[in-house]
Order: sequence, then structure tokens, then C-alpha cells
Amino acid sequence: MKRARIHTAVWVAGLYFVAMAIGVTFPGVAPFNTVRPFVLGIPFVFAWYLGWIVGALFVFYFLHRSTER
Amino acid sequence: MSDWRIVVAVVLAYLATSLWVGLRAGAGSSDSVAGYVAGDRGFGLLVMYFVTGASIYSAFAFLGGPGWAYSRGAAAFYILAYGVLGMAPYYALGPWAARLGRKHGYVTQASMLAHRYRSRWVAVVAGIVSVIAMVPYIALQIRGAGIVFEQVTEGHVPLWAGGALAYGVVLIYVWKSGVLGVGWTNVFQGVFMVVIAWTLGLYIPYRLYGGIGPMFEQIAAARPELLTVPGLDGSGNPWSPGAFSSAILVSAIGFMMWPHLFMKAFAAKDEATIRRTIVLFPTFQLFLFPLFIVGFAGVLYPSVPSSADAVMPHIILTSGLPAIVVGLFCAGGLAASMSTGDALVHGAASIAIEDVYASGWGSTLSQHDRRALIRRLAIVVGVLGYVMALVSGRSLVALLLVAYGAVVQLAPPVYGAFMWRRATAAGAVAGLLAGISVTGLLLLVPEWKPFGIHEGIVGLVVNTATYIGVSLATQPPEAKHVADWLETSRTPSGG
Repeated sequence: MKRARIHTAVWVAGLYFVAMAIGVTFPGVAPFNTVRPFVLGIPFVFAWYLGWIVGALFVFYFLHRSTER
Repeated sequence: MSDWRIVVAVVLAYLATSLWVGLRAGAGSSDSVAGYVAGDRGFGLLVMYFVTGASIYSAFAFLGGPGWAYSRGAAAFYILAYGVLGMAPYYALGPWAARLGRKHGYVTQASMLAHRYRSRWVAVVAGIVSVIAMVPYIALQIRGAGIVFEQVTEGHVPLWAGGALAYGVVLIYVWKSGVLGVGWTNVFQGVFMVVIAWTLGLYIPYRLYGGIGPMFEQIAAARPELLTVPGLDGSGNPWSPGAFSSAILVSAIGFMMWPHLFMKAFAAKDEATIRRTIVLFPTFQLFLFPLFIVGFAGVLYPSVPSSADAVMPHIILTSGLPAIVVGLFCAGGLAASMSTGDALVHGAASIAIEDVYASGWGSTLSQHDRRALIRRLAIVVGVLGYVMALVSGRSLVALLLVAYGAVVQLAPPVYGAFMWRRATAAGAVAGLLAGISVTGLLLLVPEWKPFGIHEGIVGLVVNTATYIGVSLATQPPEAKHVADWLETSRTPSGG
């Protein structure tokens, strides 16, 4: 049971970082590369980059929770 | 006007506090190499978090981050992208290295590789590459500290004096306390630089434009090209998507290969501490946000700074902020520089003695003598960096590019050590040498770079191919040794 959960968490984290690598480089970033709409006063693509960092915080957190106990 | 005296007073108070923290930190350390280099493997979460974050974000982030956002716009986002990407593999690699370090007594990355490949030449080559990469980086930090000092005191404290003062303090606490001095001062310096960055990043756009949203509205109307990636290159023309993307990838791969960062796995108290540090790392990474905001605030600022990197001090000095705030900013800049510089000085000296001298010459010096040598060499490295900071101006940045290209080349032997049983010492050494040669060549002859791709990536491809090719062509390593080594890395040790 525990092993299976760790396995899933590692896969999810791995996929997230592969998706991030694609999403923050060309050509993956192209569809999101716009100034508007602003997100909380920040140009869209700037918020896109910040969003990946905030997302990583959650992914790391769930990975940690599933591997620690 | 005597405002600069207030600035100097604030900065001196900061330096005195750093020194006090640094000297107190070493009190309980053992008289061994592991004590001086790896803090007796006792770093808890608080120290690991700040040692990682503050060692990564240097004077380059503090001055260069706003400078990039100001002059190159969204090109700066590449710095946002690579940190978290580069840290992710360390979630597995860090604990693996820590387990091996605890069992076999490694304190450096190169000594770990030497044992895995059973060749002291791997340690010597990796050690020399590390030290060559680190010294210009140290020089750049010292120069950064000197520049901040000179600018905010309007030249009353020249570059040479500011650099000497800040790094005099660093050398004293590195000498006295080793990695414990580095660790605890980084807690203080890290808190300091993060608080200063967030305060200025939220306050400056509010004061100049009435808020972050209104500021970006005005930039979007006047200079929209700055707000989409890949932004602009150094001379103000659109940057190429290939160069932007490969800069992210090469930096992400090279990120944790920096020896002064990687070797902190050997200083952590346990594996859980390493993992928790990585979980929390994105919160430190976000400190780039306020720094970029300050840079963007400079775009429509009525006056122009002397250089892009000076945009942050320029705004702070010319927008009528009280001298005490200017002093705090200066101290924040020094904190960013010193918290990276101290780890580099300490790391370079440790590697030079442990890997190049002790492994390479098969020295049988006692723990006590090696510790004494590392301390002395830390002073030599610091002075060398200082001299380099004074004599070379722009060429320093070029040297750092070589350094970064060189450090990335450590990736194949490090990853391969953990993932490929068939890898041999000859493959690792040949790959390293080939990768560095190609990277260096493309730096000298940039026209040969395919599609503007970063020279480090091209070097890395050649390196990896050589590593695999030569490994397969040479006699396989002893299966039992590699199996035991991998077994240790994959077996959680208590805690």
C-alpha cells in the first residue's frame, strides 16, 4: 500500500517537472506568452513563470508527505 | 552632506553582527576534517534552508536580477525557471549522496566520485575543474560587494576598501568556524537579504507608480516588448528563443553540480532534512520576484543608471529614501554577496586539499593537519579572489561563463555514478576533458555554436557521448564494488 503510494507520488512529481521544463521553454511557452490578461496586477507570462514555482512547492510537499511516513 | 556616514554606520553594524554570529557558530565543532568541512554532519532544517538559498542567490541575483529585468525585460524569467527545475533531481540525489557520505566519510563531491569510480584521477580532474570554476565566482562576489559599497557611499568608500572590509570579515569567520560559520551567518544574511528585497520590491513601485499593477500598465503601453519572453539580448535586440530555452536547461542541469552546494548533502543532519530543505526551496526562489519588480520599476524611471546592474542602487539613491534605508539596502547587497562568497571560499579550499592534494598525491596527513591546511588555503583563495576582483573588470564575467560551462560538465559523471553500473573511471575523465574543451572552444569561437544554443549544452552532449563511448570501450568496473556502493545509496539510514 505504502509502496504504491510512493510510486504514484514520484511519478506525479516527475511528470510535473517534465511538464514544467516544457512549459517554461520554447516552443512550450509560446501559447502563454502574452502580456494580458494581467493576473493580480502582473503580466500573464510573468505570472505563468511564478505559477510553476508555487506549483512546485505543492508538488514537493505531497512528494514529501508520501515518502516520509 | 554626511548621509553617507549614516550608510557606513548601518553597514558596519551589519558586518559586526555577521562577524559575531560567524565566530560564535564554530564553538562546538570537532577538531576533524568532517567538523570543519561538513559541520560533523549536524545541520538542521533552519541552517540547511538558508545555506542552500543564500548560497545560491548571490550578488549576481541581488544586482544582476534587477539589472536584467530593467535592460532585458522578460529575459530575466530564465532565472526564475531554472532554480526549481535544477533543485528537483536533488530530492533523490541529495539523500543518496548523504547515505554514502555517512558510511564512507566523504566531505566533497569529488571524493564521492573517486570512490565510486575507484580512481583518484577522477577526484583530481573533478577537483581541479571545481576550483577553477569557483575562483572567478568568488572574485565576482567580492567585486559585487565593493561596487555596492562604492555606489551607496558616493565613492567615499572605494571598491577596494569595501571588498576588503566585507571579505576580511568572511575570511575571519571561515578561518575560525569553517562550515558552521558559513551556515549560521547564512541564516542571518539570508533573512536579511530576503526581508530587504521584499520590502524594497513592494515599496518602490508603490512610491513611484502607485502599485505593481499600475506600473505594469504603463510599461505595457510604452515598452510591451519587455513583458514577453524571450525578452531582449544584451545589446537591446530581441533574444533568440533557442538561447533563452537552452540557458534555462543548462542552468537547471548545472545548478546542483556546483560543489559548494552539492557538498552540503554531507553537512545535513539526516535525509529528512535534505528533503524538507528542497520542499521549502521554492519559497526562497520567490525572492527573485521583488528583485525583478525593482528592475521593471527602473524602465520608466526618469533618470538612467550608469549601468544596468546599478539600477537598484540608482533608484534607491535618487528617489529620496532616508539614509538608513540606503544603508540597509547596502547591507542586503553585502549579505547576498558574502553568503555566497563564504561557501565558495570554504568549498574551494576544502576541495583543493581533500581531492586534489590528499587524493591526488596519496597524502597520509592526519585529520588535524588537513584541517589546518584547509584553513590556510581558505585565506589564500580569498586573497586570490580579491586580487582578481581588482585587476580584471569585464573579463571577469567572461571567466564566469567559462566556469559555468565547466561546472555543468560534472553532471554526467555525477548522475552516471548513481544510475549506470557500466560507467568507468576512464569514461568519466575522458568525458570531463572533452566537455570542457568543447565548451571552451565555443566560448572562443561563438560563430560555431549551432542555433545560438548555449555552449555548455553542446559541451554536455559531447561529454555524455564520450563518457558512454569510453566507458563501453574500457574494462567494466568490478561489479561487486558498484553494487555495494549503489546498495548503500538506496538504503535509507535511520532517520
